Amino acid sequence: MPTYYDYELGKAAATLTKELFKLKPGETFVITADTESDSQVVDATARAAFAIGAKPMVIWVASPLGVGKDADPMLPLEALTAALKEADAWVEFNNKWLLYSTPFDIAMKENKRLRYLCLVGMDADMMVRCIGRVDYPILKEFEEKITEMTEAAKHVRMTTPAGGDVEFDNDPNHPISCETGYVDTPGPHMMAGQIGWSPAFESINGVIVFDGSLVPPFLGVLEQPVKLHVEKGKVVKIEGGKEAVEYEAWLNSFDDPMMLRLAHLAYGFNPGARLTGNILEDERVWGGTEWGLGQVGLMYVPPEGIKGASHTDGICLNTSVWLDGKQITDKGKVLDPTLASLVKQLGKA
Amino acid sequence: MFYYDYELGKATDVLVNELLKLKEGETFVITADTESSPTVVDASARAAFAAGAKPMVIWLASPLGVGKAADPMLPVEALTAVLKEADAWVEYNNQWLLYSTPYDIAMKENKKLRHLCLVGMSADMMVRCIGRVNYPVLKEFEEKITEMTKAAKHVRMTTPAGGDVEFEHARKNGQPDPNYVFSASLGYANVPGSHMMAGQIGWSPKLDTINGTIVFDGSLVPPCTGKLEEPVRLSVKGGEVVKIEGGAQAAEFEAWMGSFDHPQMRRLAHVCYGFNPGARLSGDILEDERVWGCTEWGIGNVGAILIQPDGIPAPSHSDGICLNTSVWLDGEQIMDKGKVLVKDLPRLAKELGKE
Repeated sequence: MPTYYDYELGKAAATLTKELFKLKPGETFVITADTESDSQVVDATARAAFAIGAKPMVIWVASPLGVGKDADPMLPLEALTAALKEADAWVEFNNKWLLYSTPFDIAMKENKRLRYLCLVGMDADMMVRCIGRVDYPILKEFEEKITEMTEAAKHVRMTTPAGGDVEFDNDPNHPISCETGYVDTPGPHMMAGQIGWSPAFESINGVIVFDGSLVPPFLGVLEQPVKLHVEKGKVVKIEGGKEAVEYEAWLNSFDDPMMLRLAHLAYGFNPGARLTGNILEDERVWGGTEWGLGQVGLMYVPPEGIKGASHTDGICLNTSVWLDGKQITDKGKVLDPTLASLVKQLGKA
Repeated sequence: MFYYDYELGKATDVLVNELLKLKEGETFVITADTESSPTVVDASARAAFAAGAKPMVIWLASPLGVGKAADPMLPVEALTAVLKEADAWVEYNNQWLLYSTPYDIAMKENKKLRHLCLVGMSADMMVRCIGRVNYPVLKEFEEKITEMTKAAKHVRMTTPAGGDVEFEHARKNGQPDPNYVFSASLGYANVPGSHMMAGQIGWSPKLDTINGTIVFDGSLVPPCTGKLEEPVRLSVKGGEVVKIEGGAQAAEFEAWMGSFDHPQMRRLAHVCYGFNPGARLSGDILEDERVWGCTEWGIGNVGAILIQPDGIPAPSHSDGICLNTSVWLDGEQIMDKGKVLVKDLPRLAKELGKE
């Protein structure tokens, strides 16, 4: 008897290893996982890698109590680093992620051929919807067009049905990072369907309402919206219910002014993503936008980013977007006629 | 609940605490292949985590061969890199990594590495051969019988299946030759180096003094898989196998030996006592060679650990099991059809449940 999504997962894992990673026979493919990971996903991926002649090496570790560098003291640091330095490709299924941990940093710096894909906390359901059932060539074309349009705009306004209304200018020195899902070149890659960038920080003004999830400090989908009033890139007031109070206390607990500053935003455009409470998926829900606060990654503000005590991401569902006054999405639906056929092919018309 | 769930938990506690003596913060690598038992692997990681160590479980596709024959199918560089950084390593791979390139490099370059070879381990074997063993008593028993055997000049072994073989021990200046090592596996893996499952004592006699009849009635690996269907009888002269008799498996064995076209492949390499109180004849050589009161004869390559410094090279090696052996050391019978007879060995055997 098949396990949940057994057949579909086989196909999704084949897509992952063949189409996205383009694994070649003989390549060492490291799959990392922790005891919070979905073993069905891990096994299906190893199976698919083996079927195309690669050498899967599945590494399970105990779940650390934190992510990134917070996980370091609980990880077998030297042995893990050593393995990653010798891998050709690496998919990370750890729920307590290794992304930005010391083994990750060293491997990325010293292993120039390493292709890394971050699929933290992946489960069978998400893998089938967000990886297996995605038409990658079409999604790539769509994402690249939207990226191009956004890059060309000087001024952006975004509203949401929950009451969000925020505007900002783009900074031509800040690149736009477009995740199309492919992992066929060295370096870190994220799941398909997210386009992120940092605006000109001082130009961000208005109201941002999180009504999806908000991680950290919360787990799962928000019970009530959290409303941020933003002036010149800085959060000046937070309103809402119990979670808003907790969120404000959490931000202030770092005693770091960067924690009250917006860091980046992102469009969500993965055709299979649903609001589930898992931030990896929630930030890709079609037509949503995400705002990050705190530390700014170096991919958004090269070469070094902007240091902050921590980082948090919140989701705004069903966003309407105007680029230089021209509306391109309406409550999450893409309006631009040049994109209509692609949107239809992705099942999101 | 799965088969032996509770017992396996205890067996893995014994493994990590008593045998490997894992310390807090140590990196404990557990390797396995797709022929390995996931219940054994998971239980070991669980026990290591409870002991405060950092378990790192590595699953691989099963290579089509063992040792260096597995190399082309392994992620050699990444696996080697991990093993070079591990504090302790238990190997559950059914297609074993022992003597593969990652193993050789790790053992040579990682001076702190404690390796324990438990290839092809199952839940059942783990409970019987590891979890239910009284290690301090077994150690005392094995050390005593090793000492007695080493002190003897002449040994005779017979078995109910018709075996009757005798040999002398290598000596130098009236003492046992120190180059001929008596290797007793006590199960402990608390010092750097490679360790085997408890309950086996192996050595090489003065090879050209081996004469008589050896009858394999347990298993014979390679080339036969599982338990032997009928005995395979070897006539031995001056350490060389001069005649092989029996049924289809005897013919298979003779063909296999002949296929190497190498004189050392027809010569005996070592003998071993089996003394693991939990071992049963199961067709798995790791267990079979430890069945209480059996002896094992190896043919072909002689390892450098038994005859120092270099052993005797040969293209391959085979091990055969003779059940219920009677043993005479310098004419004194110390075992009768697998039962130990002398000094306080029967008392220790009784404590081990092997009256």
